[in-house]
Amino acid sequence: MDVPVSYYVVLSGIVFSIGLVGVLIRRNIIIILLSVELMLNATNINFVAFSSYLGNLSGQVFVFFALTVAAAEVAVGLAIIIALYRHSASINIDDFRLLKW
Amino acid sequence: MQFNLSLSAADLILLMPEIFLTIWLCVILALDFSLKRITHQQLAHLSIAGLGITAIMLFVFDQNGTTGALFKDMYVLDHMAILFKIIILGATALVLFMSIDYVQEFRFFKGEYYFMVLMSAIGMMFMASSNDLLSVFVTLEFSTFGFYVLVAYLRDDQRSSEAGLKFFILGVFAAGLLAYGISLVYGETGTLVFSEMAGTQGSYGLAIGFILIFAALGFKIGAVPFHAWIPDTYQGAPTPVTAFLSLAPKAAALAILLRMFFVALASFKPMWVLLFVVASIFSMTYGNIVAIAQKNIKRLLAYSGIAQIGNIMIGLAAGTKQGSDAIMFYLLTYMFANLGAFAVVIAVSQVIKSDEIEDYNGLNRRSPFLAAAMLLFLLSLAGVPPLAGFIGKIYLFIAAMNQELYTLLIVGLINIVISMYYYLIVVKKMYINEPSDPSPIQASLPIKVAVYVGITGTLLLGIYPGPFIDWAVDATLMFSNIAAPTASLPILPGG
Amino acid sequence: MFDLLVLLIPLFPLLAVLANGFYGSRYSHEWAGRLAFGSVGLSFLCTLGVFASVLSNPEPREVLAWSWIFGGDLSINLAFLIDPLTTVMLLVVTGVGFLIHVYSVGYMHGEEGFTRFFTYMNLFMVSMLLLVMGSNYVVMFIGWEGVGLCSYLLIGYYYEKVSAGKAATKAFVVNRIGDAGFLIAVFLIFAHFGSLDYSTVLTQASSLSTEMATAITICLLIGAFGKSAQLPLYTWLPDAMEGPTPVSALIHAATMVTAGVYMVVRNHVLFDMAPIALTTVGIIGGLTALFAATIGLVQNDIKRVLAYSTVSQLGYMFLACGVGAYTAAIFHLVTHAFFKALLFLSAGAVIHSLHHEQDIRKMGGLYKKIPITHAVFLIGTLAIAGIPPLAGFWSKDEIMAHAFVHGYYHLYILAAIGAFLTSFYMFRLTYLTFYGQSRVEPHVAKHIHESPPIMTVPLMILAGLAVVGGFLGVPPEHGWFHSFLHDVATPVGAAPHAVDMSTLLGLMGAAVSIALAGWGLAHYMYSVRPQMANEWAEKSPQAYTTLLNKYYVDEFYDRVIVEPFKKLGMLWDWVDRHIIDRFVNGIGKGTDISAEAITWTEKHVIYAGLNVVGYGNHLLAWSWRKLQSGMVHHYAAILIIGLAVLIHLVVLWFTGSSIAGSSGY
Repeated sequence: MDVPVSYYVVLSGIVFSIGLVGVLIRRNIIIILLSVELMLNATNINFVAFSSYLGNLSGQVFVFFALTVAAAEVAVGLAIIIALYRHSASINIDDFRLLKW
Repeated sequence: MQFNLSLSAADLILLMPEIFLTIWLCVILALDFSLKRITHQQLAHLSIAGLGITAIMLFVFDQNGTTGALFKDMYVLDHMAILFKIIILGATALVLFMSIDYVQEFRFFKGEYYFMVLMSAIGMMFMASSNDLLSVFVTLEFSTFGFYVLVAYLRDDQRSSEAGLKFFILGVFAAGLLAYGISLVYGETGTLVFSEMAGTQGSYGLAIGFILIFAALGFKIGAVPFHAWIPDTYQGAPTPVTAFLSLAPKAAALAILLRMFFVALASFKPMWVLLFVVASIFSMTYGNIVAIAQKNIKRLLAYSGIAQIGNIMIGLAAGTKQGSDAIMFYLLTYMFANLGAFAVVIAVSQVIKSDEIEDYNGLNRRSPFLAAAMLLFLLSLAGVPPLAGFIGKIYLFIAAMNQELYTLLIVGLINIVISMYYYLIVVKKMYINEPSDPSPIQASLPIKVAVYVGITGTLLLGIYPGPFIDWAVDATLMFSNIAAPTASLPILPGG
Repeated sequence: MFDLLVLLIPLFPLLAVLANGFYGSRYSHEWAGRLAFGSVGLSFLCTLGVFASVLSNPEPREVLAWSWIFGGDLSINLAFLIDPLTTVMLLVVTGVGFLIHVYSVGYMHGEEGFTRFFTYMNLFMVSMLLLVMGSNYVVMFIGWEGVGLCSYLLIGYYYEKVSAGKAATKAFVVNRIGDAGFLIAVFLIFAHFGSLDYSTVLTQASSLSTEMATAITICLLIGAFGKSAQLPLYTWLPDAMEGPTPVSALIHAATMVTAGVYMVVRNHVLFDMAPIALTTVGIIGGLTALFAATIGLVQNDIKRVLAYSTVSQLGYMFLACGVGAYTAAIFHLVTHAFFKALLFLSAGAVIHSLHHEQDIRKMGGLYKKIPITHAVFLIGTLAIAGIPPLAGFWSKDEIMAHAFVHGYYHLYILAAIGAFLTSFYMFRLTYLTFYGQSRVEPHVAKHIHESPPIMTVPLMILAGLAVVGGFLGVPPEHGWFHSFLHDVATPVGAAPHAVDMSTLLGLMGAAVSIALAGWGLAHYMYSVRPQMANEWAEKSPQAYTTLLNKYYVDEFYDRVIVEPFKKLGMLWDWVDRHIIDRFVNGIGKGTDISAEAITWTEKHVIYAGLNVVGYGNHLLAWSWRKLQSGMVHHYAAILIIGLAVLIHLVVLWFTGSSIAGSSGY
C-alpha cells in the first residue's frame, strides 16, 4: 500500500506542534524535555518519509544522528535538573526566577 | 545509491587540527584523574599549549593553501574556515587565561572544566567547517552540550544552575526547530549539502525551513527575537564561561550563516536581505536601549552583545563579499574588546565579589591599569576612533552603504550614538566617582595576560588594520561572485 | 623639518598624557604640572615655527603621520592639513591653551586630583589639535569625539557634587545628538565622493546636487550646533560651568565650543552650495546671539553669565558664517578666545580669592582688594562689549557690517540688539563684582587676596592680546588677517564689491553707540541708582522670573525629551512585565486550551473506553486554569512570536504584496 508522502508530513506537523505547544505551556521540566523529544521525533518522521520518497539515503542517516543527539540532550538535561532539584526540591519551572530582566 | 568515501591519508590531513586537539584533550582528561599531583593550573597551561599548537597548524595550512573538502563536501577546510577556527581557538585560549583563578575557587571538577571548554572548542571548530545541514546539526549540538554543562558548572550556586536550565530548555527547543527546518529543506531540495542547493526552486516549505534554521542560528548568535536567553544565562554563568559564550559560538554560527546564505541561498538574496535587515535593526535597537537600564555589568555586556550582533548582521544584510569581509574583521575586533572587557570584569569580581556597575565606582583609583583597559575596551565596543571597533564598524557600514541600505545605515549610526551613552556611564563611574572602598585591586598574572592581549589587539587592529583586513578579504574570496545583487523577482509561484 | 614640526605639535601633549596618566603617582604634583604646561608650551613653539613657514608659503600642505590602510579599496590616512585656517586655529589652541595650563597650575594647586586633572587637560589638547589639524573627516571625528570625552570627564571633575555629575551627563547626551548628525554627514560624504579627504571633497564639491549638499550640510550643522551650543542644543553649556574654571575657559569658551564654527568654515565650499543651510546657520546664529544674551541679563552666578555670553558670541560667529563672512567668523573666534579666556580666568581668580564664592550678589567693591584681577577683567569687559579699539569691537563690528552691507537687515537687527544686551550685562557683571558696596560675607572678606603670579601673569598676557588682537583685522575686510585667510575662507563665487567708506564709518559709529548705550544703562542701574534693578524686577516679576529660569527651556527639555529618553530602558522593563507578560499569558491560555483539548482527547477518547467511570473527575480539568507564566515560557514564546513574524514577513515578500522589488530598505 502506498501512503502519500503528504500524510507523513501532516503527521509530523501535528506531532511537532504538540511538542512545541508542550514546551510553551507545560510547567514540569521533565514534560518539557519530553515535548522537545516529540519535536525531534516529528523531524525523524519527516526525514524517513522524505528519504523514501526521494530515494535518497541521507535523510535516514540524519535520523541516526538526530537520535544520538536527542539521547545526549536528555543526559545533559537530567543532570542539570538534578543539580537544580538539590537546591530547591522542585522541578516546576516557575520556581526558577532568580535571574530576571 | 552508494557511498564512496574514498578517504585517503592525504585527505585526513585536513582534519589534523581537530584530531590533534581531540587526542590532546583526552590526554588532559587522563592526566587529570591518573596523576594525583597534577594541579589544575598545569592542566590549564597544557590546554593552552594544545590550542596554540592547533592554531599554528592552522596558520601553516593557511599559508600553504592546504584546503579542501572531505566526506562528500560535508566538511570543508577553506581559508574562511581557517580564520574562523583561529578566532575560536584564540577566544578559547583567552578564556582559559581568565579561568585559571576562577577555577581555583571551584570545589569539584577542576580538571574537567578544561576538558569541557576544549570539547566545546572542538565542536565549534567543526561548525566552522560544516558545509551541509547534517554536519550543521550535529556540530552545533555537539558544541552546545559543552556549554550547557559549563553554564551550570557552579553546582552550589543556584543562579548558575538556573542559568543552565534556561539555556538548556531554550537551547534544545531551538534544536528542535533547527531539526524540523532541516527536514523541510531536505524534503524540498532532496539534499543536505549547501553547494547542491544553489539554484533550487523556491517554495514555501523551503522558505519556512530556512527561517527555522535561521532561528536556531539566530539563537546561537543572540539576535532579536531569539535573544531571550542571553541576559539571564550571561548573568548566571561563571564569568569566564560567559566570556566564552559571548564570542566563540557566535563566530562559529556566523560561519554557518555565511555559508548557508551566501552559497546555498545566493539566488534568494532579496528575501534574506529583508530578514537580516529586520533582525539587525531590532537587535541593535533593543540591545542598546535595554542596556541603558542595566545595573549588572555582565547583563550590560549581554545586551551590548545583542546590539553588537545587530551590527554584525549589517554585514549579512549587505549580502556581498564586502559584507563578509567586514564580518570577519569585526569579529576579530569584537574578540579582543569583548573578551578584554570580561577579563577586567573577572579581575574586579575576584576581589570585590560583585558584578554590580555601582561597584565600579572609582576603579581608576583602585587599579589604574584595569580602569584604563576597561576604558579602552568599552570605547572600542562603542566604536570610538582610532580603536579597532571603529574600523570594524566603518567597514560594516560601508558594505551596507554600497548596497544602498540607507535605513539600516541610519539606524546603525543612531545606535552607535545611543550605545556610547551606556558605555560611558561605566567609564564615568570608573573615572569620576569616588570608590566606597579605596583598597587597591590587584589582577593576577593570567588575567593580566588576557587583558594585555586584549589591549594589544584593540590598539593594533585600530592603528594598523591593513594586514588583518587583507586576511579577512582573502578568507572570503569564494564569495566574490555573489557581489552582484540577484534579480529581485518573486521567487515563489502564486500569490 | 616642516613635517617634523607639524607632527611634534600633537605629540608633546600626548607624551604628557602618557607620562601623567600612567606614572603620575610616582612624582610630585609640581612635576606633573610642569610636564603638562611644558608640553603645551613646546607645542606652541612648534606652532610658531609652522606659522612662520605658512607665512612664506600659504599653499595647503599635507603631512602624513600614519598611513592608515583599511585594506581593500578604502585607505584613510592619519594626516594633517596645514593651511592658513589650520594655522590660525593652532595658534589659538596652543597659545591660549598654554596660558590656561600655566594658570591652572596655580588654580588647581593643592587639589587632590591634580595629576588626573592635567592628564585630562592634555588629552583634551591632543584631541583638539587632531580636530583642527586633520586632513580628513575621520581624523576630525577622532578629535571631535576626543574633546567630547574630555569635556565629559572634566565637567564631572568635582564628582562629589551631584550637580556636576548631572551636568556632565547632560553635556554628553546633548552632544550625542550632534554627533549622530555629524556621523551621518560623514557617511553621506563618503557615499557621494568615495573619499573622506578634504582635498578631494572640497575640490570636487561642485559635483554635488543642491539637495545632496543641503542634506550633508544640515547634518553637519546638527553636529556643529551640538558642539557649539546653539539653539536648540545650547542647554548643556551653562551647566558645564560645574567643571573647574580653567576647564570652562579652555574647553567651554576658547577652543572646543568653537569647533563647530571651524567645521563650518572648513566646509564652507559645501555650505556655499546649499543656500538653505546657510540661511539656517545665519538665523540660528542670530537668534542664539539674542536669546542667550537676554538670559545673561539676570543670572547671578558669575560663571553662568559668562557661559551665556559664550553661547551668544558663538551665535555671532555662526551668523557671520550665514552671511558668508567666514573670515570674520574666524576673526571673531580668535578675539573671542582672547577675551573670553581672559574673562573666565579672571572670574576664576575672583572665585579663588573669595573661597569659591560664585554668586555676584555676594561680591562687590572688590577693585581695591584685587586690583590686577579687576584691571584685566575690566579689559575683558571692554573688549567683549565692543568698545574701540579693543579686540571685540573690530571683529563684532565686521560681522554686523557685513550683514548690513549684504542686505541681511533682519540679522543685523538681531545682532545689534544682542550687542546692546551684551554690553549691558557685561558691565552689570563688572559693577556688581568690583564696584559699589561690598556684600562679601564677613568671614570671607578677611581672607580676600590677590592671586599668585602664576595666575596673574597669564591674565596680563591675555589682557594684552584682548587689547591689541583686533588690529590684526584692521581695516575691516582688508586687514592682515583677511589677506592671510583669503584663499581658504572666501565664499565660492563671491564678487568683490566696493562699499563706500561712509557706510562703514556710519556702521562703526552705530556699533560704538550701541556699546556705549549698554554701558551707560548698566552704569545708571548698578552704580548711580542701585535699587533700580530690583524695582524693575518687582515691577514685572513675570519677565524677570522667566529670564532667571532661562525661559524654562531646561525644564521643557527635561520633561519632553530627557526624562522619557532616560526612562525608555526602564519602560521596556515595564512593557516586558505588563504587556508582554499579559500577551504571553494570553497565548499561554490559547495554547492551553488546545493542550487541554489534546489532553482531553488523550484522556477521554483513548482512556474513556477503559475508564468511563473516571470521566466526571476530568470535567474539572477543562476549566480555565489560572496560568502563571514562568520566565522560560516567556522566552520561548518571544522566540516563537518572533519566528512567526519573520515567516510572515518573508511570505509577504514572496507574494510580493508588501515591498515591490527593490533593495532599498
